[in-house]
Amino acid sequence: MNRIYLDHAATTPLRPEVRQAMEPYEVAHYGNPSSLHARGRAARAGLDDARDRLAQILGCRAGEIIFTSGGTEADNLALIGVSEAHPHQPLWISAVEHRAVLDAAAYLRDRRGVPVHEIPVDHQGRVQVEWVLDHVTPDTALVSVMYVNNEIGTVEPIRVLGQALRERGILFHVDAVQAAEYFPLADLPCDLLSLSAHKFGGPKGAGLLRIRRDVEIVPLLHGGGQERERRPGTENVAGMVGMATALELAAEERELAAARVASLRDRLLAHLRQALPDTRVYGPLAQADAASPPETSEGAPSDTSPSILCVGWPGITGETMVVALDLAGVEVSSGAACSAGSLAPSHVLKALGLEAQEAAGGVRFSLGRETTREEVDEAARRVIETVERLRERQRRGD
Amino acid sequence: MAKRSSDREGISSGTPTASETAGLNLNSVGRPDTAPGSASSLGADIGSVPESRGAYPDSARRPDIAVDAGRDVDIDLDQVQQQVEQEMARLIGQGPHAPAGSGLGSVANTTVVCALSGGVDSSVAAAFLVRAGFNVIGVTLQLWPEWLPADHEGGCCSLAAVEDARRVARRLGIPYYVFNMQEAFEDEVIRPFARTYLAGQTPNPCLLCNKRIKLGALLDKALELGAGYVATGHYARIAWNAERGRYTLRQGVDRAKDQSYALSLLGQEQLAHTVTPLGILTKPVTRKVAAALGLVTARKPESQEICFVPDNDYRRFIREYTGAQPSPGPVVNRQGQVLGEHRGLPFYTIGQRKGLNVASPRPLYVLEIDVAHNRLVVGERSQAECMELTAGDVNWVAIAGLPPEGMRVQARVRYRVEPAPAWVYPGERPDVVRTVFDRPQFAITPGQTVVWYDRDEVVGGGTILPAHA
Repeated sequence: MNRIYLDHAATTPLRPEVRQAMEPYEVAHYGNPSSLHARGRAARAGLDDARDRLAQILGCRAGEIIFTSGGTEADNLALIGVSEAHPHQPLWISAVEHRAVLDAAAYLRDRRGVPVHEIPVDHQGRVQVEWVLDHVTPDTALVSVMYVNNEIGTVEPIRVLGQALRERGILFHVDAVQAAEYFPLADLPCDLLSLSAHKFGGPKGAGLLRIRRDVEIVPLLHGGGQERERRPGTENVAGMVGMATALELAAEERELAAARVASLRDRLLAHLRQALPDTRVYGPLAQADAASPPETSEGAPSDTSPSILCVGWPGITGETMVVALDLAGVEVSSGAACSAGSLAPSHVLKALGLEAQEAAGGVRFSLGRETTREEVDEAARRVIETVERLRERQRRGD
Repeated sequence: MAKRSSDREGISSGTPTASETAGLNLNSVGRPDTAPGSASSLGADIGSVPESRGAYPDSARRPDIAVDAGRDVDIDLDQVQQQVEQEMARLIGQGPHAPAGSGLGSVANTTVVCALSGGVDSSVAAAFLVRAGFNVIGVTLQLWPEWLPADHEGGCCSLAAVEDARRVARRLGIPYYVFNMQEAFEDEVIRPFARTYLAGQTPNPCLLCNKRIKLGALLDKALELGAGYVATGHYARIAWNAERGRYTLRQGVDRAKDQSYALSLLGQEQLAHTVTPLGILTKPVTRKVAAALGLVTARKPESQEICFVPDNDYRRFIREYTGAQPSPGPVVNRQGQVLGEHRGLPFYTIGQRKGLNVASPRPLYVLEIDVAHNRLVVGERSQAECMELTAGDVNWVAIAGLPPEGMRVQARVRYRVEPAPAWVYPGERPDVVRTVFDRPQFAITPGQTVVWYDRDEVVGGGTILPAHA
């Protein structure tokens, strides 16, 4: 029996085209881009080219892109870098941010004495623009709100919020790590933007922070002139070439890919709802209950990620489901993994107002561009069988 | 010297080896097929979900768990394996609580969750199960609350322990998970531990953990996932005794390592699902098996301390955990004479001699922790000896209940002491029993568990109650 991978929000397979584009920089053009000789220039050319192509997609200048080791570094550089340039000025972050943002903010609060404020979300996980505008003060150093939530797929109102913050002259960071494959990235009204290549078919260990020209930041690392001294260290040339190629492919295919993956996600949800009527859905899709059956919806609604489906079943923990599904050959996620690899109740589900017990029950299915209809049908079958088997045991046990 | 096991066929080659002894039939499965990518390799078959057997990545690249030919190991691994399987056959698939379809005739359909602590014992237990052909799932429990430092070494769920356990699982080619049981552990073990200390008694959290967590919450979860058994690295033997209609618990063959005490509070259903492959081994053999199989845990030192108490400083732990300010009070003798001041009762235990801070021509020992009057009662050694004790929360293992005329036993009053000859009688109330020793026992400690043995078999166990109760 084949194993079915439905954990694309964790990471995606490297696309063959990307691998092909990277290979020359791993093998032939292995020079250090800072070297003056021909081999160094070849590597530099690849790096410059990657930066230009990325800038094109992001609608920014090449010089506004800082290459990083991934999304976590980009988020840390955004928060800590801006905060160090504006010491002791408050930060505002949403309650459903990725841990890279939450923990960087906690570091600033606990170690640097920075006032950090949390922006609450509604029951779908969305921040309210009005609430933010009512609360942020003019001395705010930075507001950070993600584009697409990695656990429940909620799309945050970053355009409206970004525009309003810009009018008030407040810096705005967007963690767009989960958005890159299916959402437009050009000309977003934000000052800083984080991306991670492996979330959209690129390699691990490659990411970027787009940072508007006149935004002042203090680097996290010190030790060389690379990335305009904002991120020293020999550049991961192949990784950046891979990231540029992957983002170009994603941008070209975006609308079709989003519609396709959304219909597969709807199909999965329809299967689950039909066989397991008490399936709980978290995030904006929860609204589609009964009123508009998901199988009739076309394409990706703009308020939710087309690839992420977060569900739960009363009485079954996410941890049990993830393990049982792994044993059944379906690879999914739940909550947040700690350093030991065990799971803790999701802070995102808690932020929706769920009790700890229900917050520990969320299971995230995240589909990808190589996911097939057959896989979705088979995965649904295994999920249903697993839930029924666990229920059966509970009935016998109680 | 015994034949070096690396020479033997059937280990390194993965050739199925028929092993038909004492009801043990491995014909249908044989040794786990260790060929890389083999569809029938262990871990690919999870009996609980027959429709959806995935070729685990774990097993697809599973390394040969063969004898490390480079090591000079003077044990016959095949022979040891056979003995272990023979012993396991006395439990697995036996008795009224045996999971349907389980049994050594169908090992491939029997899933066993092995609790991996990151130590050598549980690693070797898992290895025996894998080699016997069971579907083995490795699990480490994350038990410590968030506020304890995760890098605290030595305990059984530190990060280092998880890393070792993960490597062992990888080496054995089994799926591996870390289960978060912090909440249950705090509710069921840490809080009662602190409460008992504050009540002036001396708890043994390991017994509680075995009963409530490893063979409580973990067993529940294992059964939920379709497994039939939980395996641990305890040195104790569990078997079904058809004559008496009981699942029985016996001491490990290695008396120096025997851990039957720590399992003595398990009920019949728990014992029915608890596999202890190391019961017939001695620790040196376990280490040799680990070395022969190239397990990273082969030479790890023993851990003795209470896993959730950093530096084994339980006094500090109680203080920090409960926030209870130590409340000093008088140290008195049996006559009520005040001899000095104590630092707070949770800091003392029965029989303690050091740190009493009382001047006396002869050594004094703690006799009683009198919480009601905040007094520490001390006296000479002979006064700390007792002829009898009363126990509550009794769990019978070998027998369904105590006969009215009582029973002749050997009673062990704490983990590492020799059992002493005694009689057990029904107590004055129906929920307690009396233990009357032949000779006086030193420092009988309320809160600890008394375990009664009949030769090497656990008759039952109970919590020692304060003498005045």
